[in-house]
Amino acid sequence: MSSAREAPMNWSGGVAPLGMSWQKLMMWIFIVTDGLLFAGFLASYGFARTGARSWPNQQEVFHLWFISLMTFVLISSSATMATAVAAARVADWKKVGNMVLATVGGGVSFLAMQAYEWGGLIRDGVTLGSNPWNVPAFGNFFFLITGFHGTHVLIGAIVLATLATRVRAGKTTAAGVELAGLYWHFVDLVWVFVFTLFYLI
Amino acid sequence: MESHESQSYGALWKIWGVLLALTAIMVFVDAMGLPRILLLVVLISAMLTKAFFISSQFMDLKHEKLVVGVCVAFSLLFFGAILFALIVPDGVAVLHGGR
Repeated sequence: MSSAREAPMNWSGGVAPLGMSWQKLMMWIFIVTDGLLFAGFLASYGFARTGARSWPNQQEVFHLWFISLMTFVLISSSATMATAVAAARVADWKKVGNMVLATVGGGVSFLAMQAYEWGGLIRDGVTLGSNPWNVPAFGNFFFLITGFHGTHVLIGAIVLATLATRVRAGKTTAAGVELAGLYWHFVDLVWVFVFTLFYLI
Repeated sequence: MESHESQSYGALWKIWGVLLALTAIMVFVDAMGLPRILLLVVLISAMLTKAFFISSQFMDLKHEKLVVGVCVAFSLLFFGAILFALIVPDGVAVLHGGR
């Protein structure tokens, strides 16, 4: 009965305007907001970097082969997570469990390597406020950005470890695995930017 | 758009190979000592290519409605670029100009 000219009293929004469940849409909204946080960090790092009269040479400060190894581990864990999501869609739950566990292993290894890297730099005298190269912003942004990213990895590892036990217990769905996967890939995606902008450029 | 058939595992691991190859190229190029501008162009292009592969293939944006990917990419890349490009030059000028 209602014509197009009648203003609706209540907006119903349709069942799924973007063709996805509300859970997945919420995860995407979270990813955008969390991504904006990192965009802010990286932009402010860009400001500090552009404004600084000098900046430590990353080739000398970092062991880039080691950072590349960390990147390799994180990208590989993203691939195992994608495999878990694909396996969940065909209800191959044994594979899902194994692949989620492999992903947790990747996340934990990444954190261990990051702790090792932090330890080395702290021993070299890098702190939040000072460092041997006299560019205070360097240590500040290094610990801020990699620290926030590492916290995301830690949270992801905890979520995925929980997911793995739920998969074993037969308590999760393919949609649940997909949501956890979206978060994990996001963490990998952030690292792509951090690795390029902080370690290489 | 959640009705798509599951991807073959092989296709996913191919993406993994591409991502690793791009990373290796980036580290190699970084060590080559290219002119700064050229280095920036190569590294940022490779970075965005990796981001594209992860979001479209691993995060399945290629199976979602186009508007989802456009919204996500636009929000993050555009506002990231705005934050940097429109604020940094002024900020640096003030920092160094003493105003």
